Amino acid sequence: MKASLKWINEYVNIDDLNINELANKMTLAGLEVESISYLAQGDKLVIGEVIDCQEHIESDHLHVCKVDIGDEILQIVCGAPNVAKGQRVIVALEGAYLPAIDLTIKKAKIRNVESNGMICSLSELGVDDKYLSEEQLNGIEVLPSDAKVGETNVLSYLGLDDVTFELKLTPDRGDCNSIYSLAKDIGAILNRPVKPLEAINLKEVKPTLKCISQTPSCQLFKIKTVRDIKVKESPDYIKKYLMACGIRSINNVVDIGNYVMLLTGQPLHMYDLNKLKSDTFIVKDDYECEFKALDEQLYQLQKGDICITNGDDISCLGGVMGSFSTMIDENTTGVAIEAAHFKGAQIRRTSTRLQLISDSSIRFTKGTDINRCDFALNLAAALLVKEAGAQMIEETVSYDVLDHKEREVEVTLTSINSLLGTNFSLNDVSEVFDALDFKYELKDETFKVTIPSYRNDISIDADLIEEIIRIKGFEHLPLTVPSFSSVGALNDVQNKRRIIRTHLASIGLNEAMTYTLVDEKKIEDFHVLNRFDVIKVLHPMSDERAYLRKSIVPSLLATINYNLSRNISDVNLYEISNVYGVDRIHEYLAITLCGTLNNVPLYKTAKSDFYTIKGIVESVLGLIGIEQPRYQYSRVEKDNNYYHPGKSVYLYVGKTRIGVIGLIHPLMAKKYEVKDVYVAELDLDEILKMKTSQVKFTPLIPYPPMTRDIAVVVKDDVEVESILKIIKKGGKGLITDINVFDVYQGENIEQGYKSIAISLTYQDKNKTLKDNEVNEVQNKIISSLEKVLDAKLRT
Amino acid sequence: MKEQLEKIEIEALEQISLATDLKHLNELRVTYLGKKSTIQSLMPMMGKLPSEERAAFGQLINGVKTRIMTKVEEKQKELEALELQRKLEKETIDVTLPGKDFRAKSFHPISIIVDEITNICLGMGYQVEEGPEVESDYYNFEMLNLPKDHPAREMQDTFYINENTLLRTHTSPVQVRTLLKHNGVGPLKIICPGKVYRRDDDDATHSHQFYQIEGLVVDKNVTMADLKGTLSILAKKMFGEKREIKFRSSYFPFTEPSVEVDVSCYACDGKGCSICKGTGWIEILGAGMVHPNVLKMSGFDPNVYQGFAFGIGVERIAILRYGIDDIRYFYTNDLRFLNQFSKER
Repeated sequence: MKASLKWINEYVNIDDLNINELANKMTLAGLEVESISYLAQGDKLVIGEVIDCQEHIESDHLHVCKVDIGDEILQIVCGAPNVAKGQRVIVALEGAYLPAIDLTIKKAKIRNVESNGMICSLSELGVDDKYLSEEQLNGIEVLPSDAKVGETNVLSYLGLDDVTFELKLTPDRGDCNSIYSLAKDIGAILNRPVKPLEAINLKEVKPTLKCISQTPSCQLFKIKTVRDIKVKESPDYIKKYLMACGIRSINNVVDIGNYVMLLTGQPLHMYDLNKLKSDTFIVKDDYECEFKALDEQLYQLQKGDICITNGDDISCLGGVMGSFSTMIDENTTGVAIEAAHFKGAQIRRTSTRLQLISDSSIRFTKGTDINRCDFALNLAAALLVKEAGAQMIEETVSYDVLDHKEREVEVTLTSINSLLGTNFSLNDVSEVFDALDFKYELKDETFKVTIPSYRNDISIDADLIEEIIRIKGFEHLPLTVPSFSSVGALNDVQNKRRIIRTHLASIGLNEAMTYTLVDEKKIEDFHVLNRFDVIKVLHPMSDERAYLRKSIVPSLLATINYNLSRNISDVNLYEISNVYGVDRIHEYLAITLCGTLNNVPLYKTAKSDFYTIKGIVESVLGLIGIEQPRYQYSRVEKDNNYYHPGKSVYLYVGKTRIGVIGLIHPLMAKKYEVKDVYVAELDLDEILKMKTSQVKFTPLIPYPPMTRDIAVVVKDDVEVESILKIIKKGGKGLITDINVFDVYQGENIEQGYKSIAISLTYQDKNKTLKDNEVNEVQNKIISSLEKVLDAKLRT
Repeated sequence: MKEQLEKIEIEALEQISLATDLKHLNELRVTYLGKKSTIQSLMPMMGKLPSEERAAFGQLINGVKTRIMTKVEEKQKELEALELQRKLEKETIDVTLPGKDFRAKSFHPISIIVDEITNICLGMGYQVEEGPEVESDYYNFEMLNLPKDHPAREMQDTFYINENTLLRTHTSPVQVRTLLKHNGVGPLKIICPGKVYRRDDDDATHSHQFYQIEGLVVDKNVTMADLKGTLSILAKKMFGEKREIKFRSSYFPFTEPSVEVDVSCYACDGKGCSICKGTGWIEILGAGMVHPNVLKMSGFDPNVYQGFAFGIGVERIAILRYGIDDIRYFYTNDLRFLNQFSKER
């Protein structure tokens, strides 16, 4: 809502206030002033008369003018094409500042001719171009010939001394889409009296039209007919008020409709009487057809849209926009004025669907005052008499099945103070209700308040309590805290999640946060943990943000690509986020390693590989108390499309796949335009719900350990794990530590074979081991290795 | 003989003091004290002396030996220390070369703010509750006093998945879920951090995905003054002890009264600057007293219980705190951006 302060000042005195202070007070009380603008701005202005106008000798477009400003005659060089002798014009004197063009006027020589000021256009004074004619836009403003030469209060003289507050109204304060209701609220905020709307007396004749509604979306519909009108330009005060409220003047009749709507908040619609097909308006909501609105666009109507019909014509899309067929034009001589009440929800549905938002639809959507229709119609009729020469005014005809019973809400002083934590007195509360012009009865400490019909936002005691504190001011609230005690602590899952995040950042990974909504082209990539059907957004805003992701990995690969293309080659990331499938949301942890972790080139830090990511995953699991053999590895399928089949594994707990670790498939690397990226994705929901075993201390062994190294040669495809299993089994509980310290292929080892060197630590918890005891165990282990794996001891 | 000994001693002590390394020192020791040394060769002559002279000579020769020996030992210590010093000098490295990299990397700035607010609230006795991002229309809107066709639904343009399911537009449905879990019995004191979604085109100031933290306290006598006091503590902890807060009347369907909360500008102490656009105040969050309809629908008797709720936009706090000028940075994850937050925990 754009509001003219001059107009508001007609009802509540505000012109003595600093504008910023007023805006601040209104904002604190819930009428947020989003911006302040001036209809026109400029100081040191004066009205002058051009008494001489010669062409500049050194220019083909400049004029040298002599301008009489009352007490002086100034020489001014003017570039406007329309300047001429005899015109009354606006002159900005030396030293004047024009904010619209950020210019300070100085004495100057323009092509060797002295110029002592500037003849202004309205645009240069800051009047919005949309209110100016082609002529006004291209030249200086030419004032009427009776304009007072020497007048220095120019903006006020021209009626351009108004200020516009652009309000960002909350959806509950539809009432403030009205200058008068706004004045009421400002009056309450400032605790100043507000003038009532003037009563209107009209000489009326019997009505000739009828109206009825056939839809519950319209329970109040009124028509007033006014004849013998003459369409012409609006008077200046109407034009300026409309301008300050952001509406362009069309003609007196249309402007009067807008003027009344702006003042009262009640939208009016005017039908050209001569274009009506019958004497009866019927409001219906069951049309499915095309409708040509007065903006000359075609709209497809649906059942439910409110149609004001007349004969076989849809004359208005109720509450949204009139029809082209009955619109006012320069030949209009009579109008039927409609004031109605439409259900806001239906207006919202219609205008949203048709993307047709009008001043009228905004007001009906937010709620109008059901008791202001008659006043609005009478005011419009009275203005048509005054400004359009109307003669014949008919009595208003009504269809009205609305409940007009006044709403009463009770609130007690105790409930006020106990909700707010304040210490207000009965008197404090009465003052607020008086300022708001709310009628009330006070019994003991209970206020029974009659809610004015324009305040649709008040229906329970909490609403009244809000009125009290916003009018009194929130500075009356003391600073206290809730009195009950409670324990604040993270739960187990939240705590573990935080431990994991901290750990990963500490070892050198950056935490990332990427979007949930992803592209169709990526939605199935890396979904190996999530086989559920994908969730798609209805009417996505773009193809890129159409699906809820099934894996975090594609987003992180895109992030890696982004960083690589900015010459950042080591990109190590993790992200904890939900992933989605139909009926299933799980929280995942994804880790991606690209390049080198904690890279210092000087020390030739090794590039990350499978064992880096494996180690990180095991560190994460270990950190929250989960160690092998509680989970097992299993290679990914040979035909896996997302992970390198030779360098990737799944993690299982029992039969549940809880994670995947590995190198992305080269085809994926190509698709995402990244290099080798090692990835881990873990189902955190599954992992964090696993029980963590309690620490139980094991006594330290006082007997010395004995370390033996062995090296065995096995076939290439023998996995170390199978060797370790045999060692553990053969160790009979005497082996306390096993370390693989070398895997070797090359000279001295036959092609297709590898040598694995392992260091074994023997220790008995009951005694010091002797050489022969260790030899016996180790020999058995070696012979098992030879037998089961065809291993050969390397000597 | 006495003269000879004295001469040897003088010579030995001088030679020893001139020794330059341990090897040379050892040679001198052998020369002067070894089996083939002059002193040693004088020993047998002692027996040939008259017995009354023997003791004096013995004393003399032992004295010489001891003094030479002491000198050798002193010199040895000195040379050893010197040698060690030389060795250490030789081993000196360029300490200005970089250390190996054990630096912790960054938490995401959104996480940093979430953790910080969470920690403050944990200290004030709040529990952390979480809820689903794919939410029903019922919990996201209707249970929060936002029936279908409510004009305030326009404030939150929604990603629907089907008619009844959507991506939550705020963390408020977690309030509802938590209230329901408590079966109409208070008190409760929770915060709910999480991602939320709205149909906004991504630009410098809008993001279709963002992060919120919701707070909710319900008990029999929780007041709006408690809300103001709580938020005042939060603002001071986050923006400095000198900060004050200010309420502005506002509207949310699920709270009544509703307020927007401003904090006095931390950059100019409220004097007015470019960060607060000259007003001295910065909007940081929305809050209010839980609407009686919300309590009622969630099984709490509004005649018995009342409470407050607040909702913080995490990106907004991060933007203010770090002076970030484009919300899209949070979701681009440029390492040059992320690494700037490595020192924040």
